[in-house]
This record gives sequence, structure tokens and C-alpha cells, in this order.
Amino acid sequence: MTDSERTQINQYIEQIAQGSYTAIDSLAQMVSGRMLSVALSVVRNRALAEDVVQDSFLRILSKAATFRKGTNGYAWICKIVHNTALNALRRERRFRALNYDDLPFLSDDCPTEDNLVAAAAVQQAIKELTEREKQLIYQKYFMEFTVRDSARATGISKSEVQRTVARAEAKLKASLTVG
Amino acid sequence: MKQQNQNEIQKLFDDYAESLSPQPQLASRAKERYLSMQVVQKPRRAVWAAAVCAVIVFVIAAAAVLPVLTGGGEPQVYAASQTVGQRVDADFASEIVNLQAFEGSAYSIVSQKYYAFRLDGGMVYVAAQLGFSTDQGIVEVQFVAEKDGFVRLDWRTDYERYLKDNDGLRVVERRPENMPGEYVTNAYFKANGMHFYVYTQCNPSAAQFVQPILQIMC
Repeated sequence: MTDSERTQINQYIEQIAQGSYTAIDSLAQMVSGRMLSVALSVVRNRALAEDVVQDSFLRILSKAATFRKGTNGYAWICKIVHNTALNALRRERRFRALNYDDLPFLSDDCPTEDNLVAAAAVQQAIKELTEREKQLIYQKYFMEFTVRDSARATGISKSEVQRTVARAEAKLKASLTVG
Repeated sequence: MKQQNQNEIQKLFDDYAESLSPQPQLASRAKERYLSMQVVQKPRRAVWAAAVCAVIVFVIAAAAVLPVLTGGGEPQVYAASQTVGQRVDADFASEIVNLQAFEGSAYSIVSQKYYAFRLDGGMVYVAAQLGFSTDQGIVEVQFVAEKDGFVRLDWRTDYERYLKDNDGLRVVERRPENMPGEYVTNAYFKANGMHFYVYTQCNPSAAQFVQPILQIMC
């Protein structure tokens, strides 16, 4: 994601906070695909993931006023989706450990050819990583979580997050070089 | 070199993100729901206001009458052996303690277990074990939320010392003789018609988060 896209997302959130309902449509155009991917990574079910994204938009509408200016709006949205998805799973009493080997974007839920090619490239690159490494790499590069965000989400220390991400990046580098 | 490596990985994920189709219909549905909630909320406010007034009147009347009926408002004392316990889920517990309040907070719940105990068929207390993730590690919180009007025999001393005449949060630091290097506290407060006996344990650097977590629970 480019800096201008991040700035644009922040502007949309601020407009929503001021009561603009059209800004939510523009925001959806930019990030709803990514939101669905984050939701799918947790709930593994297309219908439930769509409900999660819908609920996440509701929360964005009602909580936009609490968004802190100058912070990463896209990561804020990803956190909302992630938490909403975990809550949805708890409600469904189907809570289970996340398995990033079974990447959501390779499921039948996202059948477009472009999607499959791009997803397969990611899948290929991260196949050598451990579960924890995949989770943290996905959070850093797709959800734009900071080290602090990942530490909170996973319950491990910030230094452990940094060490694990560095180890995963080294493995990915080797994998990408060979590729 | 490291930056270049990170850029390559980022490009991989960006290419994938670019390939995802937008789902604008989900935002539209959410917007419709949000707007309908706003419209429905206005007439509901009047109904709620009337209901709240009725409840306040009822509570004031009950507060005046109950002590007379129950012999001066003394709680019913019972023994642990009289209760029957069972494991319950977070949905059940969320009616007792405000777990939703943690969703937007800096502390996420990473582990949770709940048990409900019944006395003569009615729920009398809920015991819980929770783990909160913080920047400095996990803060472990165990609590008992006991229904107002009841006191288990072995909690009576604490009840009379910290809860009987106090509604606010009381935090008591403990000297953990058997757990050197741990920060241990007891805490007491009343909320949602329950009295809470809380035990917290964490490493000393996470001690700063104990009070804020308890404040959210209150």
C-alpha cells in the first residue's frame, strides 16, 4: 500500500467521523477486498466472513470518531476486522487455532484467476515458515500491524515478535532468491 | 540489503492485495443497518427513558422494603459444599462482567475460563480465570463475582472488610512470599449487582496495567 493510499484511508475515516456516509463507499472500494481476506483468515467461511466485514463496517461507522489522527488507519481497520472475526468465532463456539498454511485466498471463495496467481506466489514463498512466522509475516505485510500490535494480538513479547519476523524474513529472502 | 528484502516481501503481498476484488455491497448493507439503527433509536429513547424511570422507582421502593423483609439487609451465608458448579462459556459470563469493554482497549483477552455455581438451583457466583496481554507480558486475573445478598462462609471476612460498606474499587497489594519476583494483588469492587473478589498476578513490569484493567472491569 502506498503512502498516498494510507493518507486517503485516513481522510475517509475522518470524513465518516464527521457524518459523511458517502465516504464509507469510497473506503469500501479501497479496502473491502483486504478486509474480506483478513476475515477469511480467521473464520474460514465465506458467508461468516462477509458478515464479519459487514459488522466491521458498522463498527467503523460508529467508532470513527475515536480514531486517532496521524495513526495508521488501514491497520486500525484490520484490527477491527480481526477482533470482530474472533468475536464471531467465539459466538459460533467454533474457536480454533489459526492455521495460516491454509491461506484463505486459495480457497474456492476467491476464484478469480488473478487472485489465484498472486495468492499462489505468496503461498509458495511462505511455505517454509512455521505457523507463528506465517502469522506474524501476514500481520506485518498484509495487515500493517506494528510490532506492538502483533505482540498484543499473539500474547508474546515485542522482542520475540521482532526476532521471529527477522527469522521469517531471512527464510523468505532465501526462498525468493532461489525462485 | 535488509530494506530491499523487506521491499520484495511487501511487493509480494501488495500484488496479492491488488488482486482482491472490492466488496462494496458489504459496506452498503452496513450503512443501511447503521441508518436504520439511528432512525429506530430516536423513538426508542422515549420508551427507554420511561423504562429507566420505572426501574429507578422500583429499586428505590425495593431498597426501602427489602431490609425490613430480610432482617436488616444481612446477606445469606452459605457454605461451598452447598453449591454445585459447572463450566460455562464467555457468552454466559459476559452477562456478569463487561467483557465487551476490552474489545476497544489496549488489553486483549488471550485466555479465559468460567465456572458458574448454583445454590438451591439459582446462580450464586461465577468464578473466572482470565489472561490479558499487555506490552510487558500477561496479567493473570482470577475473580469471583458473587450475587448481591449472598456471602460464602469463607469469604465473609473479606466481604465485611472491603465490600459491605464500599462500592468503589479497592486494590490491596500482597507480599508474595511464595512467589518471589511476582506482583500480586487482591481487589474488591461491586458492579452489575455482584460483588467481585479479584486476585491478580503478573511480573513487576506489568504491574502498571493491573489498575487500568480492573477499572475497565468495574
